[in-house]
Amino acid sequence: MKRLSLPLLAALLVAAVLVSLCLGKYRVPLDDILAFAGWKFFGLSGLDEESRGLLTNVLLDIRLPRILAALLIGAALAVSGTAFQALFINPLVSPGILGVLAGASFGAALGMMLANSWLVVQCSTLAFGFAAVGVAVGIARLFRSHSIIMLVLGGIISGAFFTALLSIAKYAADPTNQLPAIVYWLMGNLAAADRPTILTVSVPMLLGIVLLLCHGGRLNVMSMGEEEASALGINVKQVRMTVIFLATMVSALTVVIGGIIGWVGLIIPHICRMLVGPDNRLLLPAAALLGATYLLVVDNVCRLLFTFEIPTGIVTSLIGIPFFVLVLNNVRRGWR
Amino acid sequence: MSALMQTLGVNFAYRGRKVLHDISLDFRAGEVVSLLGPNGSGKTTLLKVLLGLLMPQSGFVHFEGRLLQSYRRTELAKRMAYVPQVHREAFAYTVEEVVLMGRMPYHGFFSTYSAQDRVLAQTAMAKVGIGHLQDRPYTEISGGERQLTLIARALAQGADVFIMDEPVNGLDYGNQMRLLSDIVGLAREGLTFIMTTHFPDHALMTADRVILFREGAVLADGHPAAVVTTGSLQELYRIEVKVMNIPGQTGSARVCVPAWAL
Repeated sequence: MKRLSLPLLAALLVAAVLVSLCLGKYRVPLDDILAFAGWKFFGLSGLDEESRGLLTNVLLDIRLPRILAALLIGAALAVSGTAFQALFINPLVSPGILGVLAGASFGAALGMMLANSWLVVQCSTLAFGFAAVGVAVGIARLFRSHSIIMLVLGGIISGAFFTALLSIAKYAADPTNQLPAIVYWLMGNLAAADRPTILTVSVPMLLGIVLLLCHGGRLNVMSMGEEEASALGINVKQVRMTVIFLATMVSALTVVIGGIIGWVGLIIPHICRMLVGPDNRLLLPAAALLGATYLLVVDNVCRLLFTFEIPTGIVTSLIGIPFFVLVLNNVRRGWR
Repeated sequence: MSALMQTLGVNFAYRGRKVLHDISLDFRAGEVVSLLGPNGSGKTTLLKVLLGLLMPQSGFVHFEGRLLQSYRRTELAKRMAYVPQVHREAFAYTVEEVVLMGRMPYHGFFSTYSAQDRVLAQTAMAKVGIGHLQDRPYTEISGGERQLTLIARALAQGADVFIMDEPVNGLDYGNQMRLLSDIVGLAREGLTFIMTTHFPDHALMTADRVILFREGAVLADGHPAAVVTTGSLQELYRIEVKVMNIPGQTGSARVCVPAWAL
């Protein structure tokens, strides 16, 4: 079962992508998608001129960017959640533990208030995501302690600080234009994801995810505790800072693409741990695949269930919370 | 014989509170050394200094004549293994996965285990008699089995120096004795053990050499029979205790009995 789970999860992901390409206001049959792919990649002539243009528009310009956004965000959150759980030796940790989401939220709000440009909003989101984690790590350093508990406390303080700043930003924002935009953004929504942004952001995100996947063995050892990891030849501080940097980067970039998408980073690692066990060398790729698939499916529901769109972040929370209650028993057993 | 490990005038303090005072000790290859001393006497701190996990404020630690901090962590991990006392267990790794972690120092960035790693892990588990547990979650086995798993991991690590912090802590009497006899067996194969214990009896059973610790300083250092005596134990723990000889078939064993029980 364990050996088969990665290929199975990968197959599930491919299936989800194909189904997502089909679904929408304009239904595209699977045959057309395959014919389109055949024309695009192999130069086969299975389509007439008119449907080529139409499918290019529907599939490549409209659906594929959003599918990519869902895959990237889902994988990034699930992988950084898994990595942080090993790093903090606690299966209840989520990617936001060091304040990255609070910082990025404030950054997005500030960007929306100060400038009328998406680029500014995106840069500000990323910068304040990193700033919040910097504050958390800085607070831990202030006490000359490299212990995990000080980092967690630093994260709580930093998160609270940037949440307060976000409140100030909301209070100061123009209530007719800016405030609704900020609130709507923070609900988490993939509809806003535009193609150039996703293509640009996908490069560092993929790189970050792949580099995190390479840390599986070291994260296993790190989760045995700092001293044992050192005695097993791990440069604990270096690995810790690398993982924190990578997880912060990919999590902040999820906010850049789609606002705050909650709970994916907490529940996907749990489901994967039930499927493949706790070995991070297997768990991280499993989380990447399942996280991507999960968010894609949820996003399809959000865009298709009603005639209007529901913010994706709301639905991930609505699904995540009852699910978390269900697995709570399992969580408790693992964490003593 | 030259020393495998050496501390020279090591001083260590936690936030200004002195824990180790001017410790100079030699550890020879193949020795079983027991550190005895009351709670808070600095035994565990000394182990962590030997492992390079704590840096002394002054003094030096040498491993094979070279300064400990001049070694890379992966180099040290191939020579020295740490078998800790308390163990955090957040994730239910299987026993085999825990033992395989001992092979980490031999791998680079991608940390994929080879077939040879698996063989070494199997051998290590068989050696301490936990082969049948390999697929069980580490969180669901007994304390003694967990301790044996960590020893198997140290064996898989290929280390020749085992640094153990109260290895019998939390084990029942049977498991304590089995574990101590395993340690003696491994020491006969040439491994070096440096371990702390709260039981003078265990030091008498296993050690080639006993070091008595009090308030961060060495009180006595030498052959168990010479060091673990009625007088020294009374001074060390401030209780009335007698060290007695029990005659056996080939020699005699020494045991400690509190005076009130005699």
